[in-house]
Amino acid sequence: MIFQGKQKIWSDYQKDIPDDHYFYVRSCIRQNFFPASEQTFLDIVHNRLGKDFYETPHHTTCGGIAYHGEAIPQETVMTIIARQFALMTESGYENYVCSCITSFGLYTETMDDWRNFPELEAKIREDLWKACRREFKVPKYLAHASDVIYKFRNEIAERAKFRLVNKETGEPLRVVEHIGCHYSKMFPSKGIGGAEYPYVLAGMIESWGGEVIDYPERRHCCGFGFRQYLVKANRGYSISNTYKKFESMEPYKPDMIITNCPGCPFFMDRWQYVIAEQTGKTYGENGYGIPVFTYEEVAGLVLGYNPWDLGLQIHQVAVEPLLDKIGIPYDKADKYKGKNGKLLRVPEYPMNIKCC
Amino acid sequence: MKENVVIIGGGPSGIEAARRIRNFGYTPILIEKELRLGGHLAQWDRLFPEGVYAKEVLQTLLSDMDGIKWFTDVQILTINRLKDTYVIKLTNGISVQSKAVLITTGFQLFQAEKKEEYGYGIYNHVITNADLERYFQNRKDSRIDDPKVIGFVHCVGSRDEKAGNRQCSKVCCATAVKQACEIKQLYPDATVYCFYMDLRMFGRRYEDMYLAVRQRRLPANLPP
Repeated sequence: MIFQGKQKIWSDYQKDIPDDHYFYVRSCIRQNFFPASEQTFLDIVHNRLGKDFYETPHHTTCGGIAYHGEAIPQETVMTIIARQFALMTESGYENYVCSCITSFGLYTETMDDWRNFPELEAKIREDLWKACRREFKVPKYLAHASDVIYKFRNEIAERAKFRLVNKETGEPLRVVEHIGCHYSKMFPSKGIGGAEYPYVLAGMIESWGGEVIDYPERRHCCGFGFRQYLVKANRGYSISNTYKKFESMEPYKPDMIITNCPGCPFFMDRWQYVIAEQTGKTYGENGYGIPVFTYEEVAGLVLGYNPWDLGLQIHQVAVEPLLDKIGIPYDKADKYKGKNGKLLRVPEYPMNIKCC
Repeated sequence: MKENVVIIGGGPSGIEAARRIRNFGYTPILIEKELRLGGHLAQWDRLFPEGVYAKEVLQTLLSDMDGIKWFTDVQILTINRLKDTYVIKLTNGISVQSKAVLITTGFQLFQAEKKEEYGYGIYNHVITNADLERYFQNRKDSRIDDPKVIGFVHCVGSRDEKAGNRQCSKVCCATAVKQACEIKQLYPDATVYCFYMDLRMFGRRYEDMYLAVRQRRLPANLPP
């Protein structure tokens, strides 16, 4: 690896991320897949970094899943997005931050289309007015929530209680960074580090003490791929993609995976279970699999949040071996307790992938 | 007194043009920004399809330079058009009056780092055709270390709308096949792959070279 080459690319692909005052919109599916991630993000930016993040219960889906599943046309999704922008405008904000990579890609695409085809923007404005009597301004800055954590990665590192380091050996953890396809593959200049060597997660990993692993299929899709999974008959493609990635990264012995997309952590986590059930193969150490995290979860871990408050108990691949490796304390008895302290149901153990 | 014709670019096209113009009775003046004449040809080891050494071709061209003037390590500052002549001001302080100006500035190699997905400048063992020619010339390149498996990726930057080049380069297929032969000669135990969209073998005997390689024999005319 020629580090200077990567540094040059990284310096070529930087973007303006505002310091403060953001309008925040959540993801549809992350609420179910990794529900504590967004809450952790808001807690970090509000209470640890002291930033102004505003969210409204009136915002909806961006329409991305239906759009990429070819269920609704572009004009419809643009009108939904226009309504989101109207909510931002009405709230007095101009910096738009979304939690979802698909949304980020769709907002980027929409804003680019409107720049190139102003008549399309005019039509959408008219449609929005007819539909709900709203008007909007196009955001001055559009950022993904991982851009924000990237911007403040060093502040988080300064406040960190743990680092991505093996406490026994003192060696940096070996970390795979997986970027959602819609972050920068469509518009490389809109992502930190571009499309081929994105730096948004690599920067966090470096700041927090880990070592980024490069492996051949690093930019390959996680396997979600929308129609690969949403169309049930295509799910073989979905797991095949995931299998390809894990086969590619396995020789590099990653300790963990960090992602910035709603679908990626889910599929890379859950499909490890399915691959283990179908083939008997596991990819991590000692049959446990490789734990997959959202960047908010990792930020929460290094800041010293309780792993169960971060929702790590709902991961398929056990996180405890990694927590032990870093030296993060946790109470096994609390793993499946709800916020009220009552024990929730304990899941069954899978056959082939080990769980704690 | 013979009239001058300024030729901008001292590669093979410029040199050959200078010889022809001289034969028409003019005084050609070659302007070359590099330290020596020869252009890209001077950077190349052997040429497709026959495997002739580039330096031999260049020596042949340079062996007949009588009546031709040239400046190396010089660039053009200004060109002013007068009534029926041009005045060309050079960076070495000299001004030349010329009947005509011929531009033979050749081509620029595609910057392989623009195709980020191939990792040129990022990964240790990713090189370009031009790098490999330099290696063939002097056998020095830290990126080439007894390779066992070698892949040639054709069309990088050609037929590529995103790279701004919709056209075929017309040379990279033949270059890659020629170099595949050469590297196989250097490393007989290595496995060599060519990855291509289509093979477009323009020019006389290019296809012969390709067919010979397909039949797993090196073209007889490539010298060892």
